[in-house]
Amino acid sequence: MKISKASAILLPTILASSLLWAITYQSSPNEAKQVFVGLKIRSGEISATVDFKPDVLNLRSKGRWISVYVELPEDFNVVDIDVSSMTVNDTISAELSPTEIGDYDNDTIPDLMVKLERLLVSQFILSKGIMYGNVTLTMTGELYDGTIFEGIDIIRARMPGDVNVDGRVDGKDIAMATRAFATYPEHPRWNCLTDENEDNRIDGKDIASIARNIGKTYT
Amino acid sequence: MKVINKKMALFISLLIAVAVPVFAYVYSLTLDYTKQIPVGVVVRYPIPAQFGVYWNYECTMPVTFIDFGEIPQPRTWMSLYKTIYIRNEQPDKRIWIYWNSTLRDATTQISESWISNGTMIEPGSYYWSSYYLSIPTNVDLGTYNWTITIWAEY
Repeated sequence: MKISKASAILLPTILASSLLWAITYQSSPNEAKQVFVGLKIRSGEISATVDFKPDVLNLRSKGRWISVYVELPEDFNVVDIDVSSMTVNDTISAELSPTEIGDYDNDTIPDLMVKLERLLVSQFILSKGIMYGNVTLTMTGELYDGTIFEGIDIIRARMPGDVNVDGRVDGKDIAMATRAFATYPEHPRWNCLTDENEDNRIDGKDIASIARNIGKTYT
Repeated sequence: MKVINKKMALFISLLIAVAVPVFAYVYSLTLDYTKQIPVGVVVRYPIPAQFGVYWNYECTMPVTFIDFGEIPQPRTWMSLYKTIYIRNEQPDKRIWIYWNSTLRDATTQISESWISNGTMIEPGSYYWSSYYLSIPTNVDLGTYNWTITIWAEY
């Protein structure tokens, strides 16, 4: 069989063109687009560090607030806390204001300070039949993205005059306050338990307050 | 003669009696009881079309990665979405958009929804639609990655 000259040139040209077209067609950037999608699901609950101040709560104190400082784990930001969701022991809601973001414990981790009505906290503790001793307070709340946080702190509750938190107001309390007399925070003899009126000074007013309650027993 | 005529008449009668049904039968076989309805089918050979996938309606920010970020395991059924614009970039041609996804290879707990396959886009215009994820409460913790493949034809 004879192949003409024209065919010998034309056939390979057609084949090569077809191949080139097929390659171009297959690898065309407009043929399909790929979009990558990413999503990370993490736990919906985190542990927070909470610190209630004061550490010792005089259940009859006339102070207005209790401060709570909340720190979140790394990768979370206290700015994202929904203050309106914060409650203590599912009972006492945090005040919406004042609030403050700072670093009160100087650990370089930002903390959110919120306030609680002291009267409500005292009433809550008293309603549990506790007049002195350790009380566990649990702060829960939500971040705006729905993450729940929870943190626990233990404070000491006491009644007026019972500065050594033994349920009795007696000479030991007076002695304790006397030892801390004329001190203030950072003073080597400072004892916050004896600061009856919580004015950050141990003076005659604190001694007088203890003296007024001498002989009382709390159960 | 009369006898012959009688016989002939009988024969003709018999012939007619047989021939008529046979003819009728044979004729019926030739009849066509069906009707022909003309049917037209246009076979469209799909040709890959030019299109773009963008974050904005100005079609200046191409989408290559949809990052849903990090979310807490939901306490109630949760829906997430991102709005995406697809522009017909095929000159003077309508295009039809199709897509599929490898989400089910990554997880069967999360479901997705987006534009209907075969959505048509007029020349020079864009179509926007939100890509939705439905996340159940019991979804496993972890990182999920998958791919959406989008193509267009005209």
